[in-house]
Amino acid sequence: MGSIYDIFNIGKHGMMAQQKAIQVTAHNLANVNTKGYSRQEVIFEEGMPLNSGPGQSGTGVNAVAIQRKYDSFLEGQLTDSRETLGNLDVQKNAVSKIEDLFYDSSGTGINELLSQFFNSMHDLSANPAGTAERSSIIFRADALSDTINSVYSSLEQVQKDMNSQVRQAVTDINNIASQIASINVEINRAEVNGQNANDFRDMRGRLLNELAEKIDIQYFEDNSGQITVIAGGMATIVEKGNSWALDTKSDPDNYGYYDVVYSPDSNNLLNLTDSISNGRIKGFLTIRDSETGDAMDELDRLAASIASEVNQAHRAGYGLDGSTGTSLFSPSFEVGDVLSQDVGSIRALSTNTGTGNLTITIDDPSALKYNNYDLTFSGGNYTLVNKSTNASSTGVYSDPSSFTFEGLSVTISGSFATGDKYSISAHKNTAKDIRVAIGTSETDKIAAATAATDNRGDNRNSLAIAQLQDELTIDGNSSFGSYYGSIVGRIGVKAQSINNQYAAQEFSSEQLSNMRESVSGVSIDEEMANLMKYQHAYEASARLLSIGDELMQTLLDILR
Amino acid sequence: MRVSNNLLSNTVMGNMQRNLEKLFELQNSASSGKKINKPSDDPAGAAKLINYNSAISKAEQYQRNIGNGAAFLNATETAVSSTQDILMRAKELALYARSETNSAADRNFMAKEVEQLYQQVRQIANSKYDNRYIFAGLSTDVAPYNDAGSYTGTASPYGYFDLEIDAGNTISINMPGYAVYGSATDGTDILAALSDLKTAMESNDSVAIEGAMTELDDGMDQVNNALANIGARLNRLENAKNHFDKLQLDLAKYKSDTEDADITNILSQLALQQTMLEVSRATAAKVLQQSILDFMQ
Repeated sequence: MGSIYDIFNIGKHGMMAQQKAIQVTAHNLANVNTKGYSRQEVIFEEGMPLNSGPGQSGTGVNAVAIQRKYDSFLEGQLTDSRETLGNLDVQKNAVSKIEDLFYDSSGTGINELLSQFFNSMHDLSANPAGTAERSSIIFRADALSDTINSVYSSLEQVQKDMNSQVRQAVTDINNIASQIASINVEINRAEVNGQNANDFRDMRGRLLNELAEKIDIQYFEDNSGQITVIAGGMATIVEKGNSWALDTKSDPDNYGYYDVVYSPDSNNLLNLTDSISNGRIKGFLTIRDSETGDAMDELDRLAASIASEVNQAHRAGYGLDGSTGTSLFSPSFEVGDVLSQDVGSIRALSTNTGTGNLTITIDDPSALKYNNYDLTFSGGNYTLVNKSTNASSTGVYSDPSSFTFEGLSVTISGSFATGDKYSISAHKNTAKDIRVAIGTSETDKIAAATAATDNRGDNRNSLAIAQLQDELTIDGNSSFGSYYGSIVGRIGVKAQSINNQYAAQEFSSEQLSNMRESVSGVSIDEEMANLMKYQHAYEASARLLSIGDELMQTLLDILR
Repeated sequence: MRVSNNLLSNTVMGNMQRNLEKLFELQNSASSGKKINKPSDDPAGAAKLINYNSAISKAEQYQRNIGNGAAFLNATETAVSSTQDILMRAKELALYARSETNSAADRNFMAKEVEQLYQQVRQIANSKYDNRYIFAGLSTDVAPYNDAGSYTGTASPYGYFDLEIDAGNTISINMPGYAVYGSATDGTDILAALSDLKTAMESNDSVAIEGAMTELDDGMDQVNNALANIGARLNRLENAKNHFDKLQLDLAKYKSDTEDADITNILSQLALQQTMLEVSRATAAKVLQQSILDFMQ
């Protein structure tokens, strides 16, 4: 048999518990629109019963814990989906810029100007001595080379933007990592005392999502409630209360663009660039190193083919002033032209240790294929790999050696170390550098004729140049125009596939967010109903106190 | 499934966003009139369009080449057919002069006319089109027949001037002088024939007149051949022109089929999309507005 005071106690605990529940409900309602918030719930438990006759009697309710509603499996899927979404979002925006550069439906694009240039050659053929026709050729050639230059420099700009974004992303990642580390400490401090650090955990979840959007991460929670975060496949950036910063480092073998590096201690420097597999930073790297790089290479190839083919034909002819051997475009791609390290036609790997000399000159312009090649040294041999066809040829190096391939003549002398490597591309940067080599006052040099004299009516050379338009000059299967069409097609396919992937990812990401909302999101209806429930319970408990008071009064009245 | 407020509003917003995006695309197609606005809309189509655009530009150029060629050939034809008329007159005079009834004075008088005819032919052989000597072969800046009537233009077999009228298909649009009027080394030298006729008449030599007449006949055959040759080429140009007239229409149609949006279809889709957007807006307004609060006092 308990005492009347037990009723007071039950009432008091009831009121306290319901008040706590009302407080949590209020917190939920206030955070209905907070990103990443998980709704919380008070866990009630019966009080310890008292042994008494006629049996155990209850002692009311206790609010024992506040828990958040949360599904850790969903949370993991959400971070994965953030990574992919971040990666695809970057690629989608950048590729859409690139496709705009190559495709101009208004008719001022490279393809249109290419047609106009060759049309002007036809017009000259109809009137080989015409001054207007000659000026028009210079004008058209100028417009063509200017447009190629400007598309190229826009691509370069995209590349540079991506590069500075890499750096920005690294700064953001470091920032988030240090915040996560300090929240780790807060969580540990709260939970070591038996509390649930619900709000800190929500904050940390939100930071993890932000981090995942930027870079691929893996994370796990240790038994102290703190997480370890591994970014880019191998860099531990957070462990308990510590964080390690990623850094960027200029790569001399990638045009000075940034590598992402990580140094766990002062003796080690890990290069993460190739192991980063997802997140916005992967998007930046992919666009910078693959998409723009590929498009620039193709544009270089197109520009080099135009310059080289037109120049060869043009050099064979004669101008009105009897001049011959003149190139219409610069660079000229003439026999004896030396491939230069300055232009980037030859790039020595920064790790080369040999002191040998490599000289490459153009041997036969008509045999140039404009492929990318790697020349490597190993033991006493050199190996030349054509990166487009993967064909390779190996020779024994004896100082000096020389050989020719695809229109280029190579001379190597001095000593080379095993592992020395040179990248060779005769067309490198041609799209950036292509210019018209004949001035507007030198139109007499335009070679319409095939002889130095009696040539005012001779159009055989200009006709031959005009006919280059349809010749399969690139890889033996594409004309200039159809090669350009294939570049546009390739970029279009790429953009289309990224758009589709993005749409699918966006949809699945939305579904995941919805599932998270379904578990963790606040419902005002639900909270209001709970509020009424708790309010009634509170009233009831309060009522209990007044009943207890009345009982006490009755008891006292007996004694009066 | 448990539905929270954000779930409700996110879903409504997501659907509305998708409807808006679709509407934006349709509006873009409707306003540009094109279904390919960037390569990713239809990569294969975009690559085809590039080729169509090149082909269209090329066809226009071939038409211009054909026009240029036809103009030059027409000028050539006019000159050659006037030459034909003049030679007829020379032939008439020669026939007349051959008759034994003519006196030396008559023949001398006729020689004066032949001299005029000679000058006319030389003038025509030195005529210009677009400031170029038509019959000079490739030396279009120098009159092909000098004061002595000798041919100074590009020598046989050269001097033909070609234009491309279809991919890999060229046509000569001129006749070098030696092929029409002959030269000292090629064919019948018509100016020499006229000069011989004049001399024969002046010297009252009927045998020489007979000889000059034979020369003149050969010369006329040569001019007739040249005319037939020019006519055949003009005919070829005409055929090529008809071909490109049709090709240009075809190309424009292919291009339009690939590039242009089906406006009727777009507009009906647009109307449908607008309705859907209205529905999602109305739903949003209804659903998001209400909560249990509306029913609690």
